[in-house]
Formats: sequence, C-alpha cells, structure tokens
Amino acid sequence: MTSIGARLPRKEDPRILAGKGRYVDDLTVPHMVHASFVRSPFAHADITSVDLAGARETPGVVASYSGSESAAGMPLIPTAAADWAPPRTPLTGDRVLYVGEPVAMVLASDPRTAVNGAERVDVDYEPLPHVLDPWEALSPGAPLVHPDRGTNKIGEIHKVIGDPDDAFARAHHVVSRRLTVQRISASPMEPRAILAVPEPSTGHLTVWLSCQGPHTLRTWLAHIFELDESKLRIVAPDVGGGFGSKLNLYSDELAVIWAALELGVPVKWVETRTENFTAGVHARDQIHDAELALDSRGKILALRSHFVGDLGAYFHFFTPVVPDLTIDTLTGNYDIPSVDIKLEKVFTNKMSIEALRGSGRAEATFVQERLIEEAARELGIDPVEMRLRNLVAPDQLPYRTPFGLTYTGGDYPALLERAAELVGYQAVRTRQAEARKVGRHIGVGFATYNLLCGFSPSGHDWNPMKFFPGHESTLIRVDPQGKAVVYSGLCPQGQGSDTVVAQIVADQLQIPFDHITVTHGDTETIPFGGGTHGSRGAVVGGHAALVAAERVVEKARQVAAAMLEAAAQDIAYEDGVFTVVGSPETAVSWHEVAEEAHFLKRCGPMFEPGLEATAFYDPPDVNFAFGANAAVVEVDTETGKVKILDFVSVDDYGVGINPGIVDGQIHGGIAQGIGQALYEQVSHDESGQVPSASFSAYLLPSAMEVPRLTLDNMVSPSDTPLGVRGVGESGTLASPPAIANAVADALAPFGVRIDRTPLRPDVVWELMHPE
Amino acid sequence: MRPPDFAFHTSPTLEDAVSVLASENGSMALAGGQSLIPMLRFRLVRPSVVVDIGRIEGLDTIESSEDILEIGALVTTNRVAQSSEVRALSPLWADAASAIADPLVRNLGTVGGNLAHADPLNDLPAALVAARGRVVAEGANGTRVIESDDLFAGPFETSLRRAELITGIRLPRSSAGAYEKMKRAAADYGVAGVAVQITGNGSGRIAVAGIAVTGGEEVATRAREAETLLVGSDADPSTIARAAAATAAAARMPGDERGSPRYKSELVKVLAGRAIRRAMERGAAG
Amino acid sequence: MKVSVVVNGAGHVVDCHPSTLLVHLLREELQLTGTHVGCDTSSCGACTVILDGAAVKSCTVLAGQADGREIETVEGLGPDGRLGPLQRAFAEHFALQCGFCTSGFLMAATALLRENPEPSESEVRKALEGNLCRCTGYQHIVDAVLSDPTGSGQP
Repeated sequence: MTSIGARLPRKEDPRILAGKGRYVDDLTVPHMVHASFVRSPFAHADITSVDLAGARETPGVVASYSGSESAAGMPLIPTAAADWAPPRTPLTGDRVLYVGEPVAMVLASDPRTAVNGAERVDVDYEPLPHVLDPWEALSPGAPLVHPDRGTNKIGEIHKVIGDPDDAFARAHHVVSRRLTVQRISASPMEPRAILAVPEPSTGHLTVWLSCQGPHTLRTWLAHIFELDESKLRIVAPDVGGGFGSKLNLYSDELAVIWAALELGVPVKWVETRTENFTAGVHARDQIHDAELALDSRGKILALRSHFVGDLGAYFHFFTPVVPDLTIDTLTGNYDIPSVDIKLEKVFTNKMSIEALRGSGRAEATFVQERLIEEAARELGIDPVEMRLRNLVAPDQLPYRTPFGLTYTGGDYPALLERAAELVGYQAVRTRQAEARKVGRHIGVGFATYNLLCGFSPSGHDWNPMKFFPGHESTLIRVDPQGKAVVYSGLCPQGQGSDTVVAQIVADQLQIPFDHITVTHGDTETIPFGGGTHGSRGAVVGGHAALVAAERVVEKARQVAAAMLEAAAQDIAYEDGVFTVVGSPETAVSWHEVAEEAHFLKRCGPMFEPGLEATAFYDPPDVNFAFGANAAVVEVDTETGKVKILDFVSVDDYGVGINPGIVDGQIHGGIAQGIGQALYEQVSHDESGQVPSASFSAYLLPSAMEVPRLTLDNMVSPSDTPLGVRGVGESGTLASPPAIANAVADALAPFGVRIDRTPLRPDVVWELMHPE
Repeated sequence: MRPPDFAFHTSPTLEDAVSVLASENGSMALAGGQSLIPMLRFRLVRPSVVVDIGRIEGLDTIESSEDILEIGALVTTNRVAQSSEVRALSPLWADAASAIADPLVRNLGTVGGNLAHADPLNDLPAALVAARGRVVAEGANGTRVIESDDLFAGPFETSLRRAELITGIRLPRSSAGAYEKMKRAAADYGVAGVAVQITGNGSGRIAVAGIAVTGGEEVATRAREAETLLVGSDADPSTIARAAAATAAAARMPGDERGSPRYKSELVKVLAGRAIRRAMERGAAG
Repeated sequence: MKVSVVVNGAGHVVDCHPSTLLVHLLREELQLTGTHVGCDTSSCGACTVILDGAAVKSCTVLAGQADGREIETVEGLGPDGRLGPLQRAFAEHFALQCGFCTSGFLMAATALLRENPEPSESEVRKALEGNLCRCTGYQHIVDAVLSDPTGSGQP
C-alpha cells in the first residue's frame, strides 16, 4: 500500500465544493459588531484633528476610535525581523506615512452602518512633502519618512566574494543593465478577515483570522498586548489564499483586537479589495544595476549587482529581510565564482513590501536570467547553449555557491534541455523565421530557477526572526477503531496539505487514506507549529507528520509485542498486520492493536495506554528545488500586446507526494509569474495614491491570459527521508524572466531592451517607439 | 463596499418610472445595474430613490425592418452579442456588445444602460455613433427621437432630460461594420476601441461611412474627417491608412494607467485600420 | 423592504434594507455563505449565482431586483446535499485550491454547460473570463469543465 505518489482526491474538496467552506466572513457569533476604517488619503501628512462626533451620532454605531485619541493607550507593533522597527500603533496618532494607513475605526451593529459611520468621521490633515522613489529617498534633502533616523536608508549589505574586480578588469565582455522588478500584490481571492471574540469573564480571547500560521501570531499577540498566551486562541478556518500576505499581524487587525478587548464584545472586520491594495502588503520592488563579466566563450566570471529595495514606510514581519534573500540567490543554478552584491534598503511613503510567493528569489531569478539572455545576445551565442556553458554540472555536485549554500542532487542542464525539447526549440526558430517574413514577431525565451525553500531551520541564517519557529509540528492520535486524526502545524491556504499529510501518514500507519482525518490551524488543538509559507509544507510539515507516524507505529509495535508475547524488536509490521518475525501465523491486526492500546483487556498493564505521538521536526537544513521554463510569445508590434503561445515547465521538486496537487502548485505559480511578467503592477501616482487599487486596474490573469501549460518533471530525491524538496513557489521564479526573454527575442530585430516588467501593451509599444 | 442608504422603487410601467423620476429629487434609474451598482458600492452617487426600470414590459425586443434594426433598451448586452439577427444586420453591434466586460456582466447589463451611463470607455456609444443610430426616449413630454450625434454631452452626461428614459435604439442595417477593441487582459475595462460602419453605393464605392472612438476624452468621438476620406473611395490601402490616421487625429486620448496619449493615439490608428478592413471584408462577403 | 426569492427551490421572504446587495442577502439573511465577495468592482466573479437561468455577479444586483426571481447558488448544485457531477469533476481534476473562487466558477460553468453541453476549450475559457482564480492557473478548472461531467457527450 503506498499513498505517496498517488493522485488521491483532496480531503479538503467535498466540503468546499458543496459551498460549506468556512472562511472568516462566514462566521457569526452573538452580539458581534462590525468594524470599518477611516484611512489616510495622503502619502505623508500630519493629522491636525479627528472629529468622531458624526460617527457617534450615527444610529447603530456602537463605538468609534481615532489614533489621535487612543494611540497612547495602544501598543506598539514590533517586527519579527529586526531589533529596531519604525514605531507603529494599530491606529495612527499624529502622522500618516502612506495612503491607506488606518486613522480611525468605527464599530456598528452591521457592516453597512459601520461604513455609514466611518464616512462621517472628519479628519483634518496638513500634507507634508513625501517621497516615493527609492533613489530620490536616498538623495540628500529628500523628505524623511522617519525624521528621527535622519536618513531614509534602512541599511546596507555588501558581499564581495572571490575577486570580482579582477574578473571585470580582465573580462572579454561585460554586459550591464538596470533591471527593475516592479511592486506587485499577492491578491488572494479572499481579502483579509478577522473576528475577535473576547471572554471578559475569564480573560480569554479567541481570534478567528485568515492567516498562514496561528501559533507565531499568538506569541506575537500575547507579546503586543501583554496577555497570557495560554488565554489566547487563534483559529485559521478555511483561508482563501495568502501567498505570503497573511503571515502578518496588521495594524487594522490589531485595532480590531484592541477594540474587542476594550469593549468586551466580538468584533468582525472584513477587508475590501480596495483596502487590500492599499493597506495590504505589497511585494518585490527592487531596482538592480547589474552586470556580468564574461570570457570569450561566454563563461561567466563574475556577477555584480548593486541594488535598492524599496521597503515602504513600516516593517511588517519579513519586510527588512525579504531583499536579503535576493542577495544569496542571485547566482541561481549558475557556476559563478566571484560576486559583488550590494543592497541598500530604503524607506518610502508607501505600504510595506513583504513576503510573496517566491519573494527575494523571484527578483534574483529575473536579474540573473535577463542578464544571461542579454549576454548571449551580445556575444552571439545561442541562449540555451549560453546557459549550458554556465549551469552547475552534475559532476560538480555537491556544489557550494559563493554564498555558502550547498546544492545537492539534480541535473540542471538536463532540465533545460528537456524544456527546449518540449517547446520544440528548433521548430520554434524555424517558425519564428517564417513569421518574420510576413511581419509577425514570435519569440522564445528560457529561464532556469533554483528555489531555496523549506524555511527554515531554527538556527539557520535564513531564520533570524524572533518568535518565528523553524520547525513544524504534528500530533497523531489513533482511536480504538484504528483510525487516525492528524493535528498538523501547517496552516494551508489552498495548498492541499491535509491531503499530502494524510498520504504520508497512511503509508506509515499502513491504514487506508480514508481512515485519516487531518486538522490544522487552531492553537487550542494543534501543537505549536510554524504554518504554511516558503515552500515548507511537504519538506518540513511532511517530515513532522512522518516522524510522528513513525512514533505511533513504534508504540503500536510495543502493544503488538505485548499481545504476541514477543520482544518489540521481533515484531514486523506489514500491510497493516503485526507479526512475530519468523512466525507469520502469530499476528494481530492494526485494529486489534489500536483497541488493545486503549483498553488493555488482553495484556493488562504492560504498556502505557493510548496510541498517539507528537513530533516537532526542525529541518537540518534548507532545501532546494529547481527547474527550467520555456515560453513562446507573439508580440503584436502595432499594439504592443504580448500573447503567450506556449509555455513549458520542467521541474525537479524531488519526490512528488500527490501529482494532482503538485501540478496545481506549478500551474498556479506560473499564472502568478505570467501576471508579474505581463499585467500586474501596484502603481503610485505622483501624490502617492494607488490608482491600481482594483481588479479592473490591477490585472490578474484570467483563463483567457493563462495558456495551456505543458509540465514535465525529473526526480532527484532530496537528502531527506521523504525525498521531497519543495514546490509551492516553483512556478513563480522562472516564468517572469522566461516570458521577458521571449519578448526580447521576438523584438530582437527592433533593438529593444527589456529591462522591466510588466510588459503591458503600452510599455512594449513605448519601448519600440522611444520619444 | 456597501451602497449608501436609499429607497428602492420598482416601476411596473414606463409611465410610472417617468413619473417617479420626475417627482423624486435625487432619484436615479436602474436598468441592469452593471454601471450604477459599482458606482453605488463606491458611494460615488447617492440617489434618494433607485427606480428599477428593469421590469418594464415591451422594452426587450429585437426587431428588424427593411432598413432598420430596432433593439429595445432593456435587451441585455449578452443577447445582442449572441443574436444571429444582430450578427447579420449589424455586425458592428454584435462585435461591440461582445466586447463589453464579461459574460456574467453582459447577462444583466442593458443596451439602454450602457448608452445612458455615457462612460467614455463604454463600447456601445461609439457603436451607436458609427452606425448613425437613433435613440428613442420617453419622458414627461412624450416620446422623442435623438440622433446619435446629439446624445452624448460629455463624460457621464447625455442630452436626456430629467426623467427621460431611453426605450430603444434604431440602427441603420449594414453588413459592413466592425468594432475593434484593446483590452490588456479580460478584467481590464479597456484601453481604446474603434467602431466602423460602412454603406456601399452599389458600385464598389463607399456611400456612407461612420467611425467613432471609444476611450477618448469625449464619449464616442466621431472621426468626421476620416469618414469623409472614405466616402467615395473603394477603401484602397492608402485611403484606409489615411482614414486610420485621421481617426487617431480626431480623438483626444487621455494619458493614464492604461497608456500615454501618444500610445493610445497610435493604438486608435491601428484599431481604426483593422476595423475598416474588417468592415470592408464583411461588406464584400455580405 | 420585503423581498421574496426562491433560492435553490425554496421560497423565502426577507425583510432587508433597500440598499442590500443580492450577495449580502444570500450570505447574511439566508446564511448561504458558499457565495463569496472577492472585490468591489464586479471583476472577480466569486459571487456568481444563477438568476432566472443566467449566471450573474450577485455583488452587482440589488436585493429588490431579485424580488420574485429564482436564484441558484452553490449550495443547490448537488442533489440532497451530495455533490453533483460538475462538483465531482472539480474534485477529480484538482480544480480548486483555496476554494474561495470555486463556487463562482461552478455556477458560471453550470450555466455554460446547460446552454452548451459540449463546449470547446476556447468556449470554456471565454465563459469563465469573468471569474478570477489566484491559485490554480485555471488549467485544472478548464479540464474539469471539459471532462463532460454531465455525460451529455456520451453516445
């Protein structure tokens, strides 16, 4: 019986398909009131007065609060990732630093009345000079986001490894570009949502929260409000997507909790999409001045990138460390001996950037793959050949990168060659030549990726965050019928990890998949875990489930030994039956063992009753998954519109536990990458407003834009018991540069430089027709 | 986002709707609601009473006579998009209706609502102007017919009087029509569109040409110079190119998130050329 | 304001504020929370229901417009609370991940398949262009709809 590798149907589906999913906005509790926020319309302004009288006069309004009245009584919100964070309270007191910052909150008996009340809050602002451009923010005399610091520069990291100066000095050729990865939004289909339910008589507080990991947030919540963690319960019911944006405790969510504690009544708040675009975190937003030093054969001698990360006005959990991830992943799968990487992190008057599927690594992949493509073009080397000359070869494994990461397993050249084969590379070139003769412009582009994933061992460099666990937890409890309930510390937002975990446990316990129930996302029942992010579900959470299951089997073996009057080490367990080694007729079934474990009727007190085990799995190291993408596009050179004709992804995620789920993860990641490449951008106008704050302006790809995707995979098991690597973020890394490279290839006859995304029609056309 | 407070009135008849709209200050008519309700959700409008005209009988027919295709104001844009009659008698309108939003929105959005909303990015205004259609309106003072050129007064403004409702449109039939639109992605409202309708003189020359642009500063910018260039010609490539350029010159395109004025102007030129060519192909085939 | 609706075959008279949207009538008055709200601009289609036979965005319908009409929601898709064929096809094809958009896709696809039981891939994609999904990349959804869930393509 093996579940791992089987395309088993998801345990999550029947309930959701029946419309019986339970997202936070679906919950109702007695006496619940609804919150609505008043937000800053200015990127930078002093608040001179807040008049709540109109709100308080609105029938049905229960309470209203302003930061200027209440901030003194509100806690400061720390960051997980740095010793110092810009001071931030749930509602802002005297100064706003970005459009969308919460200034006041109105609570009412129903959501419509809450909005009516919030409309009647009168706020006076004194606008201040603001800064939106990171380079401008770094220049002398720029308006200061946090004047106490005296600078908008948050910090600088400079890594020089090998001898890059020498490499650039003796290089046959140097290719240099300024490459921009735009600001984007995670845009989960379910906006943020919270329901805080206090129990004033006992001091308990339950928070239903659309989030990616309740335990960490419980610790933070206790820390922020100086509460007993034992009296706090956070529950993530069904979560409608997160992609990194729901790892945080946001200002407005904390205001809701604060109000629930103040008033002693349940408070619910559900974000609007417009709010999600302004007050929900953003991501990416890096500008790289990058260059490669090359020898005459196209071998890369050194990579240099001096880049700026625009972090926005405040720190959310990972804000200050997201661009750090870019540094150490900039060489990707390529064998580059010398590097010179400098990162400057900057405050601007915008919402924070944060983790978003592929964060840090997607930016790195775009830079490295765009540069290599341009190098190939400038040297006249075929772009596939160019990559093959530079990819780490199988015989170089284990390979230690300049940054000290060690890659094991995989065949990076083979992945690329397979992608080229599947996309019909030579045929596409022929088609391209034919098309050009009739004025049509087809291009093909490649990119490879190396996904640093499985975040992250507790003591590892990648886990510098206070109160952020590296481990994952699982409790498995077997009932007297022999069926199991698995309590997983993962906190999925659609990843299907209940199913994946059940498959892992089913193989260990050797019981049917249908006899396993998986539950997650509740601090009251689940052992302390890390949650779902950073492609860690299978490689960290899966191993926690594996170890817990092994322990349950060990316990069952002891019970069986007692029942069979043998030593535990002489008991074999196969196909759900325990036997004494050498005498297969002496056997007890899993069900009999489970029953005996609870009731001890046959053996008496020869072992501790019960059949359950808990595991906390702290991975020994991070992991890596890798692959190659190929994109074929056609550019309408008259309108600038790009159409994807074909897209191939060849991935090595190690052992795939459920092919349906794994393919879905890759599809979804690629769709987000297509969005980043062609459509999506959080834009700020000169005043700092966000004109892209709706789905009619911030364009998510639809079924019309995402073409049929061709997937293939190669399996190099990781050095872990399950052999899994990680897959959640895979699709997001190589797809933007593969598409950008294809557009560059299509437009090669026009001498157009593709230095940024998204490649919207107007952007492409403007590139082709400079003023 | 939740609409502001208002009263809701369902009008069973046109007379009732006109009377309520005339007597209630701040009342607004609601047909399919696909333009008004999003504005209500953002509280961009605050009507005292929303008057639902969507149930008025007799305004949801598609009929044709020898020269004219008549479409009732309450016909949904999806019905227009899918009607074989419209496809045959006014392919321009079939194209334009298909270009609106998505099928779910088109299932409720109406012809009358799309026109009366007078959004410069709505598709039907340009289709009406290019087709030289007429709008039939009914108000307190009875029925009148408004020429397409006289309907749009500016962005979100029409020459409809207070309490005057569009009841239907009359379109000159022509198989030589087309609408070309640029949307960056399915959820995009649209960047620009060009509507073209042509009538031949029976001997290979163009007798009447209508061209109008979606997405300009005006609602449905009519490209008169381009029309003049086409009339009398046989739409040879160089005439089409000049007419396309003249279309772009006629439309003042605003710079915004969707592109610069320079880009949009070029886009209008490209779309105009494509629409004229497709209209001519259809005319030749029809 | 009193609004009478038949939802999934059952009649209801709801007393609601005149500015209530149909989606909120369903979710908050009738506790049919399978229909979701994902945006403010009639873009995402998470709120798709079938109104008098046509798939529409219930966030862009006022309660009064639905008075006297028949509404079908995801809760009514399967017989007696069991999953119907399209829902089962979604499960078989891994057509959902977080599930927030799923009911909208189910309703839009249901309306399509009633009108066009054997759609082509391009017809399916066009019919779903008013529904956004952030998780799946659409391919598994399209595959589920193309899998002939109702068996109409059988000889």
